[in-house]
Amino acid sequence: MEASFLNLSAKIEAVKEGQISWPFVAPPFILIPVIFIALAMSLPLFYLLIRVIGAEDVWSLILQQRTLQVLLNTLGLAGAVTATTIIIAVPLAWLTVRTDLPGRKLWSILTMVPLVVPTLVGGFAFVAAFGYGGIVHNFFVNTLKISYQPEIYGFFGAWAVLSLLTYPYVLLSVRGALQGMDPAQEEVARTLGKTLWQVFWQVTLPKLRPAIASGGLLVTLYTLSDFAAVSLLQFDSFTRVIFLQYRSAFDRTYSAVLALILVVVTIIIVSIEMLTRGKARYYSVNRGVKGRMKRVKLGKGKVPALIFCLLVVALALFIPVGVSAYWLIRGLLQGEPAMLRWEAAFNSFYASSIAAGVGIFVTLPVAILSVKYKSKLSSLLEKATYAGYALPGIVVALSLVFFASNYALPLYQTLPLLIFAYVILFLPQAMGTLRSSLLQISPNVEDAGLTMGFSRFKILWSVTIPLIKSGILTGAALIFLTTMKELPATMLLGPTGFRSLTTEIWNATTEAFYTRAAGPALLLVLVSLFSLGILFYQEDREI
Amino acid sequence: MLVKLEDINKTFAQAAEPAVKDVSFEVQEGEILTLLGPSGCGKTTLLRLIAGLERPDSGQIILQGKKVAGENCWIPPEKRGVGMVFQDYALFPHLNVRDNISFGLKNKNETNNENKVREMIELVGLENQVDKNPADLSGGQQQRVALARALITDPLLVLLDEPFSNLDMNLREKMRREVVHILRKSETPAVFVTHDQEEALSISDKILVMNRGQIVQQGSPREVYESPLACFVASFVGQSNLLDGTISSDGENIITELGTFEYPHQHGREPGEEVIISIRPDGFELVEDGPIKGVIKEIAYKGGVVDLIIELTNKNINKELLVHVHPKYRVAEGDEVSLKLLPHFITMIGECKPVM
Repeated sequence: MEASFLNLSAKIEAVKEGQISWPFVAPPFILIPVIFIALAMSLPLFYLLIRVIGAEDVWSLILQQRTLQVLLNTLGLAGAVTATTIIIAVPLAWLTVRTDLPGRKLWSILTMVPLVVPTLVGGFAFVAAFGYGGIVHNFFVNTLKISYQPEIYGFFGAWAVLSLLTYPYVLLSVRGALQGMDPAQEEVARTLGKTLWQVFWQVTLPKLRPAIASGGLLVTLYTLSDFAAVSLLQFDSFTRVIFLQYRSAFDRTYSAVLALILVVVTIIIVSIEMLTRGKARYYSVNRGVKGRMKRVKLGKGKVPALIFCLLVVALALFIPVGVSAYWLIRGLLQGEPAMLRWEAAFNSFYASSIAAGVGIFVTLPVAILSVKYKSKLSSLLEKATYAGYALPGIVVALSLVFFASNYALPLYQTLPLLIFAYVILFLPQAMGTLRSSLLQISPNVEDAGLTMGFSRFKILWSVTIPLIKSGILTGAALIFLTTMKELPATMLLGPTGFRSLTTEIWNATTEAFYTRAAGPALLLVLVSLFSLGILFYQEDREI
Repeated sequence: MLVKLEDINKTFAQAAEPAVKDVSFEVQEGEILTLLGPSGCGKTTLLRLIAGLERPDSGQIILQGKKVAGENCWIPPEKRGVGMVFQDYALFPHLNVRDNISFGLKNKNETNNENKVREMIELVGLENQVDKNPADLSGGQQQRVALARALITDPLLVLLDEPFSNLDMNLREKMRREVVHILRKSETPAVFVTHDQEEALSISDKILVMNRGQIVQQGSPREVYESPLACFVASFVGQSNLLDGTISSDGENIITELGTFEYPHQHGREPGEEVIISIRPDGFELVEDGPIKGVIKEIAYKGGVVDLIIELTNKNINKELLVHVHPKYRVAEGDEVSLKLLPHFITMIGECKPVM
């Protein structure tokens, strides 16, 4: 034992001295943690595989007609939502970054705020406004004495809620790209006789493609794994069917089979994205100094631009908040006790903060590996860490319940296990911003540090991390925000008696106590607002 | 010997041709050496190999008697003590000028450090810019910060990768002299990489001309310019007229279509052997009734010199000559002129065909 240990340390020494060459592109202090992270992140996937492979009649389960229907439902929804968010977000980003839109600063904030409205709250508000016993339904039935069936359930409802609440992901990454873009290239295009409109299509948009793709990927993945909106609006996409199957059936294998198909779909989508991303380089090879950008004058376009912004904000922000406020006030007037649970709020805040910290710590080496040390191995490891995001929260939760109860009983129903689930689920949230900010650093800057006698590890701390500080904070904020909104994993993995804002809302909505869900819903929106504040403060400081 | 490279090879993954092939050379103490070649010839790769930012596939690199790269041997860049100035300067955007310059100092002895940073700032003349951010500096100032940053650790040598290519013309000339002056003053040997032959000729003690990953010729600027040993050098470093010729029977003359020229140098060629000769455009003089006659086809006035393209009339070949003449000659297109060849401006190139 001791001999082999000595042997190992001798080997490490030999690698350092260069007698044994380190066979990988990435240095050990990046590669080794990433391997462990990738293994941990793919743990639920392994469980899923074991469950499915170990089951009988797998093929007859897969080949049910129901499976195909669910697959088509899910893909249709994901495609429609992604396309809609891009159509909403790209013009919004351009208007708020590059033009003289009146109240630009305010619109920048307002258009981003739907990020704090969880799909759970959105779904609740949609149902509480237009569904059975909702504001509109009550008005028709009680005041006008007309009875009708609300037809918001199914595809339309799920599409509307998800599109309106997830477009900020595309907006965020496109805004970042627009702000980091060197205006010289657009000016060159203008001097070559292109109109403003042609410049946008031929220069700006192609350069935005990576940002649109990374934002769009987030939206697609979000839609695939969203549970709250599709469940509340009763659209049979994978997550809802898996949950119903798990809750109602004795045999949980079919839910595992469906979950596995969902994972496969996601892996295919992520792979396509990685293939098309290619060798995009964002940094400017010339001087690191950017010119000042001039804002485009909108002129007569101001009115339609303002109407567009107002419409989006009204639908995505004012409706959910307004409906929640309506039900809260109504509840208070009717003398219902205000159901603000400070304990639930504290739990949500506390768990999300830890998840954000741990998540960034874990994402950083993966992002560095995928940007700075490209290889087949690094892209495989990156994919492995993405895999967790593909799993719906419910599946991650189930597999971790299984894992803990079989192999790590002391962890079962504890906060660390819940945090672990959050990190698995939300790591790619930070990945996009970290990747983008790492891509902005010219590789020469780090090489320069090396030639000055600092090791790669020290360069990481004294050069790389300070340069991507804003990316780190943005990434942490994104993990925090998403964790606040997480429902299924929290329901299943939380310690006994753990109440969060989301579980409060879920319980109240499913029991149609809209007045009771309104308080936590507003509180959740409010708390998330603070994170967004941090995010904007950061953006301001960068100038 | 300060730096010694032996048989260095490097091929990048997914590249068909090697970036660097069988390269060997040496850098002496206090010397300024320039790697000159067209873009993509492997000169930057060579620089990165010396710095330790790339690892050679084979061959070895010795820095001050110590092997830093070779079989079973690898010293990482941070332990080599080699300074580098990058083409884009690669200044740390989050640090001000002073912190950029002092970044490489490890010794925590505060007063000593302060003195050193002050000295270095004085050396590069940035006393008034110390608290500025790199983004607020001009190109020339950024360049000086990059140089100071590389010099502060007292490196064995400084590597400069196309350091002047991002500067405009007026500034380039000035910075070139300034940088060389700073390097000489600090007695630091340097390896420059450039594709600008004029730059290479004016700053170097020694030039290595590179093409397609290989060294084609090395020597002092005068040797390289006046006696190119390969067609590539003749046409890449300055301009050249290339002619076919034959060694005369006594071995001391070269017979060409332009005439027979004396070539009293050792050349190791047999009489009758076919060779290629290079004549620099500066090797001609306009004279009354010279042996070479022709008509001026094009004129380019360049201030200190006039470029003439002359179509030969009294020779049996269909060839145009590029000739530099002093602006004192008032000539016009279509003029008939006659020329003679100055001694010592003719070089024999053995092994290659004229580049067409």
